[in-house]
Amino acid sequence: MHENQVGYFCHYVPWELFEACGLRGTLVTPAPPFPREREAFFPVPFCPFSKLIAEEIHRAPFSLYVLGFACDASRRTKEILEYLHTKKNLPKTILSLPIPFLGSSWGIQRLAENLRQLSLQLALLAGIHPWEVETRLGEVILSSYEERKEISTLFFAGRLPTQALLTHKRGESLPSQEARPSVLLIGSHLFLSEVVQIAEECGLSVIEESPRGTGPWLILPEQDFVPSSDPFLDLARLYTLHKFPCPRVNQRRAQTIHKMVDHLSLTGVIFLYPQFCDAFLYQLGLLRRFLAVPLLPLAHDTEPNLAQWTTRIEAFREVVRCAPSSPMAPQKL
Amino acid sequence: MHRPPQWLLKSFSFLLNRKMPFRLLKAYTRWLEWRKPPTDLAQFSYQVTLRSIAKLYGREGKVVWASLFFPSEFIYAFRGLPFYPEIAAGLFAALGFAEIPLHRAEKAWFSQDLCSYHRLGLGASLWRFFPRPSFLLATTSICWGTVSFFQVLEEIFRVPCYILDVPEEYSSEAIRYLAAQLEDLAHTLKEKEGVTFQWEEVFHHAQKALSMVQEIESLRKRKDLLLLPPTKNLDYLPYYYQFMGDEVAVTFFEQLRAFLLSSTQTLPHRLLWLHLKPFYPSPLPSLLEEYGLGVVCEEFTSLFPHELNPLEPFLSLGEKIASLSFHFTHPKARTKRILQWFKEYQAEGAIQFNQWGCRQSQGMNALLRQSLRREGFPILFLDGDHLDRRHNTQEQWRTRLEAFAEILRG
Ligand code: SF4
Ligand code: SF4
Repeated sequence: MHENQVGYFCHYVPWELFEACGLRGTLVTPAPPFPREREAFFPVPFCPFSKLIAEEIHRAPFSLYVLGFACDASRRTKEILEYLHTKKNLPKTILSLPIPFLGSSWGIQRLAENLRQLSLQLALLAGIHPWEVETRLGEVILSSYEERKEISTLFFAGRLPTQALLTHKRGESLPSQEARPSVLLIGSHLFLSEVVQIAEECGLSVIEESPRGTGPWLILPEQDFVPSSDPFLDLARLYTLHKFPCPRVNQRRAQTIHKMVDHLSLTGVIFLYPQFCDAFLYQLGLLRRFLAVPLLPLAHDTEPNLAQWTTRIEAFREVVRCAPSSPMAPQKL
Repeated sequence: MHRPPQWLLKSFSFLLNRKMPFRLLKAYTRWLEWRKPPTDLAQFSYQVTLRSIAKLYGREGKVVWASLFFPSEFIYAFRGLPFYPEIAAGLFAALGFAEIPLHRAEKAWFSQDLCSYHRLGLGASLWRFFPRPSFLLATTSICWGTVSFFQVLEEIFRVPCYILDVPEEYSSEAIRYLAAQLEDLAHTLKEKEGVTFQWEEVFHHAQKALSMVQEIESLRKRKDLLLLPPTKNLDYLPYYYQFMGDEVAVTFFEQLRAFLLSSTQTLPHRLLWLHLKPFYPSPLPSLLEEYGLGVVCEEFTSLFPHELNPLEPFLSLGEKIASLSFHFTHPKARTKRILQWFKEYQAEGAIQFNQWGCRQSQGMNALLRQSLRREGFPILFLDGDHLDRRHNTQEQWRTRLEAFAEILRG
């Protein structure tokens, strides 16, 4: 295995599991220039992120990938990749982690079971005993929880600098900032830095929640995590009940964002989303319902749209500046 | 289409939320039944539709909204009135009214890139055009969009929403997992909604309807019969889903069988129809006829073939959900089933009408095309949208169907 490295995607694939197996997990992150070699396998109205992930995995160096599938697009992407790899006989192993519906205790139990199954496969590949993985996992979860708590405390106080976590390595100390953010940027996996830069150039101070930045680290401050005797169930609980909800967990996420905007007295929200992602698209409709501050949606396909975004963010800055100091009434559906 | 003014739509919505007009409608349907007992399919369907509208909007019981793969037998078993918003969305489009709810949904920021079955359902719900639900039931299959759709409905109506988590595989563990969730759900509904479950009669009706459907399928496998105008069977979707477990489905399929036996029409080519079709009035059926492209089997009217056992209702329904989900969403299982239909129905090719916002099915197209090509079967993907005319590529249909017919002629 390539230096014990595992490429993974999405954020429901817990890096804690890799660590417990003695592996190093790297989130698959498409970076430009984007190739277009596998485009023919995807329909036009399809998640741009999935399309780019397929390209990235195809050209990336790791021999082992773990793909979580939590939506139709990621499931189909996994199937296409499996097909391509079998056909071309590529020396890559693709494991998958199905992410169930997480709104009920059934789904959480099933996620725990899926994690257990995945750990068996990983242990076999890494050449360690599954029992050892299970023992280590409990410790890794505890230290991960402490680290997440620290990050989240800074974040919910509005003191975590934007993009601080894009390059954050575990164990490194965290920078903090005094300036209060005014706008929340809800980001997609792609083009986050571009939008942060435009917003900052427009004089907006931004706090960011995105799948590549703070998103994977944040846990909700309300409830304490109490470990049980089953580390797989604990991991499933950590990722479902404690983690900042991802766009797929509709109402909880919208409520959480609403609370956060209130708590930090933010004046607006920029919503950067992949054009054909159902999870983000539903989230947009719900956020409009929940939020009492101006909301700016910015869509992207496989390329950024910098000129248009700049114009729209500039206009948004004026809206935010002119917005009444008391929050608007939430919009009714 | 010119959109009607707001006041008119609001008045319409107001009326739809009153019981009185539907009591009158009920009296009318009784009179109609007595005066004009249905003698053909069209009249029968018309009367069934009116009766259902009277029951649902007159709130003659608990109105329970369900997603397509949530079995209606479960709802009939506690005497609920099933309502399938995805099916109702198709009906709305067929009546030519799709634009009004679609526009309403977009105004509430539900993007044009979302599946129009769901978008239309949201718009109609925001307008309060659909009968108000007592609660919502859904499965995580056929697509994840369904889950989000039902969660937004929960938010709109502020009623409980129960979602069954469907595993990706079709195995005894998956069936048991679903059965346990169904049993748990039944307990919850008993406690919270005060309902009780009676399975025998409902399963009996479902079983009878199923054997009737199997007879119909055997008829459609005969080469000397074509039986139905191309894609017409998809207009009967409510009988395959919403009315399963109700006597209405049995009577309907009896009538359909009788009609088919009396039909002699055939077309030169026998095709499979994958996914659904544009439900708004369109020239597609006549174009298919013009090019001799007959449809002998539709993916969505192919039912779960197993017996439902009233002694093990949850296992039976769990198996139904698992089987349906697996055969529609797992590429290998879906392809295998399609290849089997090619043989059984002596079909020469397949057409899939793509749905713009459907990642679930479109994401499978490339692999499906490759698999069918390997076996020597041509497939045509027509692009468009089943409900939203704006995504439709009608100008291309003629050229593409003509080219496909040529391929079939060899
Ligand atoms: S961006 Fe959306 S559609 Fe794409 S993989 Fe993530 S959740 Fe799925
Ligand atoms: S058409 Fe596709 S996205 Fe729409 S409800 Fe059906 S499976 Fe889901």
